[in-house]
Amino acid sequence: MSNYHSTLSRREFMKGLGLTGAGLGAASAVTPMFHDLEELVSGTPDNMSYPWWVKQRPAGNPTMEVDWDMLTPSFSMKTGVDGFSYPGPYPGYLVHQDAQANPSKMDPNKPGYRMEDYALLMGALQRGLHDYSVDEVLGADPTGPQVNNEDPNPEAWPDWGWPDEPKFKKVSRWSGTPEEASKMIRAAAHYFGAYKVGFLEVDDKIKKLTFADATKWEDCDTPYYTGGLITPGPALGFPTPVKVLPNKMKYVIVLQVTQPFDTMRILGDPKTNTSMHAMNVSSFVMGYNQRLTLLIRMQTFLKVLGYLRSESVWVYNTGGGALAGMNEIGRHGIGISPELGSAYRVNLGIFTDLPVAPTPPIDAGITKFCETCGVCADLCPNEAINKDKEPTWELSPSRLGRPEYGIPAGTPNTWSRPGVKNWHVDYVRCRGCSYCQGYCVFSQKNFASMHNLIKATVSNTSLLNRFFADSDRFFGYSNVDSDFDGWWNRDLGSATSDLNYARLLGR
Amino acid sequence: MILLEGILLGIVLVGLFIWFRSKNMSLTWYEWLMGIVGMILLFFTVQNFFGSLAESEFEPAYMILLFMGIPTVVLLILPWQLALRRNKRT
Repeated sequence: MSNYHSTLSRREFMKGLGLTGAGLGAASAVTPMFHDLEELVSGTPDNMSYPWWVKQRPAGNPTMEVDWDMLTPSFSMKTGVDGFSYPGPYPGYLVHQDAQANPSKMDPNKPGYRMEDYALLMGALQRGLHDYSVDEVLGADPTGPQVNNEDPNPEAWPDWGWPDEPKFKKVSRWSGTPEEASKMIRAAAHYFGAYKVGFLEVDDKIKKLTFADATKWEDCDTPYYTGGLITPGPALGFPTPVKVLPNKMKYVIVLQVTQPFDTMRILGDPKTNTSMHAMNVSSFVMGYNQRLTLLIRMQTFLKVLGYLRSESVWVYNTGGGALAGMNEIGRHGIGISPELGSAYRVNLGIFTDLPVAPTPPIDAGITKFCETCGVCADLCPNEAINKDKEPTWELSPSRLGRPEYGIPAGTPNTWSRPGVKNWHVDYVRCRGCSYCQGYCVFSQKNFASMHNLIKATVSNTSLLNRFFADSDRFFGYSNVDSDFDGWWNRDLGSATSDLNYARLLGR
Repeated sequence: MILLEGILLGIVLVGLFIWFRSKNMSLTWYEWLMGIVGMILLFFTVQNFFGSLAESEFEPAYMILLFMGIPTVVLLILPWQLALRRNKRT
């Protein structure tokens, strides 16, 4: 019999209505809210592109709590704050003293320490880390015709004439709105190799991310060195020149720099390997080389536009990244980005007088996730990462110390600045290996769709955090890669994943 | 990959539909539900298995195959068998 009328019962109708309502409610709960079309349009092109689940926070208010009044300026690399610091006074020199990357540790029978591993490291080192021809503060030497005809007046640059030729007309420097500048910088920076691009406006908070006695601010026209030198401190083994930045350099361009993924994660058993080795370090230095290349390119870009540019005055790059919306800060005191996790190298901060539109901090539930996760703390071969559930304002002493260097257990924490509520890393123990970075729950390549599903869930509710952290361990994601030979025997041309991931990172 | 999955899904659904018609079979609502959830799980499992292999995460890949594959197979076989047996009885 054909039906010419509805056979839907009242009960079924009400059930359908309820399901529809629930569906609409769920959809509206997860949909970004726009009040009008103008807001939608203006919300997309000028702002950093995030995955849809990442939420923005008010400016100057990252997910890791900071008491900006309590946070003192950082002096002489001796005081810092995890996540907002390069740690001092210990780490640098101890890391270097017992560094397994030292060629004296070469061992033909030990994967990661063989001659080819050291060759890889030394090859990766070239260009950047030992290239002193580049002045990071005053910028790279211009190449090409500008060398001979550089105009000292930044208001009228470039000046493209060749020697003994009539000069091309001088042009005024680039002008546009901060939003237009941000879009332009972002396009160029991605092209130059940055993974993510953010912006900040310099205020007292940002100045607390610099070394206070090596970075001064004045009403001057261009950056310059005073000639003073901060002698090598215990944290880093090289002297720091004192530089002065003009107060008009009120903006920071923040560029996220990646590093090779696989060599960062091929680490060997944490029970037997407690520090970095040559293959592992090669990934770091590749990242730092990428940073320097990016710096030189962006400095030159800004110079041609007619604007001041600087670098090296920003050392607390993780904190800076958190303020610019590049990352949150994790239990291990290192940045965690929604896309790359902790598997990136550094947030490069270039100070400039080109007005840009600041990008706000983000909340993807990452720092909250760290409360229940602790994969990094469990993996840390040196027991340097705090295992407490809650972050704290207190600076707890070193739990184990480093007796082999005469640092007893219970040594007071003099390497962190008070003013940040976090899990203070015991930098007396840290040897700079990358177990915590490489095996952070968020540091996956994102080819399997479940990673993004989990990240989206974590961003919206913390209810399943424990389940996800346990699943990470159960499914074997935190089992450390020890396949040194596999890396050497691979053929990148046929290793689809490595090639694709490299492309994803813009390399 | 998505295109191939779409084509595969289309072929499977059309095949199922033709088979149901030829056998004069019908499915109850919970059999549909189990079948649809099973199908979603199947695609999720396959994507994550090959995605994990592409990430060089071999152990997680096989764990996914095991712990997601079993419920997937159950959810796909169960409605099929239920419908088959009901049809045989009638």
